[in-house]
Amino acid sequence: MANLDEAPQSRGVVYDLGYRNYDGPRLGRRYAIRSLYVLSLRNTFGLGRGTLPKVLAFGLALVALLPAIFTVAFGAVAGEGFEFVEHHDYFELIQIVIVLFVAAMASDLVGNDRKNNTLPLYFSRPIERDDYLLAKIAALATALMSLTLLPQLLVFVGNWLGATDGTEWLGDNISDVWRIGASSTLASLQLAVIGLAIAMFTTRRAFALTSVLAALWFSVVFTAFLVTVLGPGWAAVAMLATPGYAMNAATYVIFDAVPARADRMGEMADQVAYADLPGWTWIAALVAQTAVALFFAIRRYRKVTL
Amino acid sequence: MNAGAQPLVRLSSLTKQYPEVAALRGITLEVPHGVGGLVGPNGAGKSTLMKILLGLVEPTSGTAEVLGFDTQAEGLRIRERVGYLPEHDCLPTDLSATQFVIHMARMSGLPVTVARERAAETLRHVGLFEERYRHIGGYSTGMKQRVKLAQALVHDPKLLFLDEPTNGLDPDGRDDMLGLIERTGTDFGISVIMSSHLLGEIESVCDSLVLIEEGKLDRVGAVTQFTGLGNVLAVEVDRDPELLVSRMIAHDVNARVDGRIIEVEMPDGSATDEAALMRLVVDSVVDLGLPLVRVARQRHTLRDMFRNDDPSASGNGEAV
Repeated sequence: MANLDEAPQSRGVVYDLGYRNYDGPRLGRRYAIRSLYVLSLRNTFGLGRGTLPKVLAFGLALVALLPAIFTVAFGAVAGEGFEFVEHHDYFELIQIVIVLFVAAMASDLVGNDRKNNTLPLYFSRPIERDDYLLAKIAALATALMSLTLLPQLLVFVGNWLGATDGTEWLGDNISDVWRIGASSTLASLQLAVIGLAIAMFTTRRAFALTSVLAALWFSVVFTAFLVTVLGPGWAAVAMLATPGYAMNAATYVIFDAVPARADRMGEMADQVAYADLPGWTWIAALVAQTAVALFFAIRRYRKVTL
Repeated sequence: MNAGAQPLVRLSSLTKQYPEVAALRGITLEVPHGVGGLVGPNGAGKSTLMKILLGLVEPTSGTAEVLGFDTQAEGLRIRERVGYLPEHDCLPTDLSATQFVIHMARMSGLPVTVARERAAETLRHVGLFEERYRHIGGYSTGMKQRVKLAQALVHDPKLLFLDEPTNGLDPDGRDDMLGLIERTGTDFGISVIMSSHLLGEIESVCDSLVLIEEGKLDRVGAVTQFTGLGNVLAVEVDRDPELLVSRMIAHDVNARVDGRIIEVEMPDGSATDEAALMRLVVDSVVDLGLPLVRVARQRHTLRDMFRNDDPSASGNGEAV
């Protein structure tokens, strides 16, 4: 109230400057959800916030784009046939970047509202508790699309432009467009839901960050080790239960790129082949993981006391 | 919805049982439009009741209606029409007041341009000016409390729930806030239900009051019902009050000394009787040659109501 102390003579008139009643439209629940989605998405990229969140978000997104930029740049020089990274490999290559982005943003998106105790203000507005969660998931998944969909599209466009016969190339590869769309949508949703479900169990940023890293990154390292010591059956179970494996395997399946060779000591694609499962299993595993995380997240928010 | 016909809030046999404690034990009441006070000691169930009215907490049994809508079935409709100022800190630290209030206006369904306009107006209205562009993290308690009021008002609700709105404010800030609340209720046609553990606050701004103690309704009614003019004339003299008391008793008028003040009981009858008594008092004072400081009709305060009922309550000081 420093302002009032400086200008005590204005005290009596200050409040006469402006309350008016409002009779205009009230756009209701869906509009409120959309508003929360837009604000959360902007927050993710640090818009309307300080410099550091912007640097972090755009920095990670840029790193995720680098392989695509290389592909386009070298492809332009080397011509058709040059492939720095292929579509089905892309997420595996930048996985740590995506996971870092999820870890940083998930704790921001749900942690701040709980730490600052802002939830009562949201839930005293015309939205339901699930709506809040929906908006946050949609915001993080959309933000993740700039790390999954965007670079994949860039690779596609780069290859197309580098092709000797663009029309012919496009005819041969046009089916990759839906594969890119499907794989990046599935991966973004899966990571957003799992990341948020974990992050919402703590208000401490550092703890949320490490938990998400553990679930999405260290689990991959651990499973990679398990696969080297387990038989095909148990190795398959371990891989199906690991978000990182489900995401990449589903992407291989979507691009029809699971190798025939089954070598459990090899790269992730080889390990997935070693499990020797029908392709749909991996997509089902990804969907199931997402559903389980969503279930816990919804339950968490329905139970949270205000 | 007819504002006149519908009570603001209607509770029937409302209970809320938490695993450990019963927060509300069967409350039935109606609150009229206007500025209503919700009084009771800390932990009496005031905050729980507000959250039930907002549809944030489910009652264990019984029903609650706000503006004619059922809190459990029609929570969305209630929340479209009300504003809420929670008791505790609830503001983000890394947004400016303007950004946050615009956002909250949109969350209440206001189109973007309207949200911007109304956020600016409402923040000015609660007394935040240039500082509204700074991050809320650096605000004083008083400024935060104003932002909390602004976000509750920005969408022009029909009803405002204010949970301990003067919490943590210094005396000036407290007066400002109470003034704002009073004007909100009288000038803008917005009904208010405010909770407080300070009776003086309720008395100064509220039309009606609900007293809850230990989860039960203790009493409900218009504030004037509890604070009307008393039937006691307070006479303050500089010395020898006993002389005046004996003189009054000699005239068959009850009187007693309370410090330097003589409380003279007034007759229940007509204005002429009161005027006669007043004349008797003044004549007696002059006759006795006492230095008179003041003569005034004593007003009941809400504190009297509790003092008379429950002598042990006086130990709590100002708080009920």
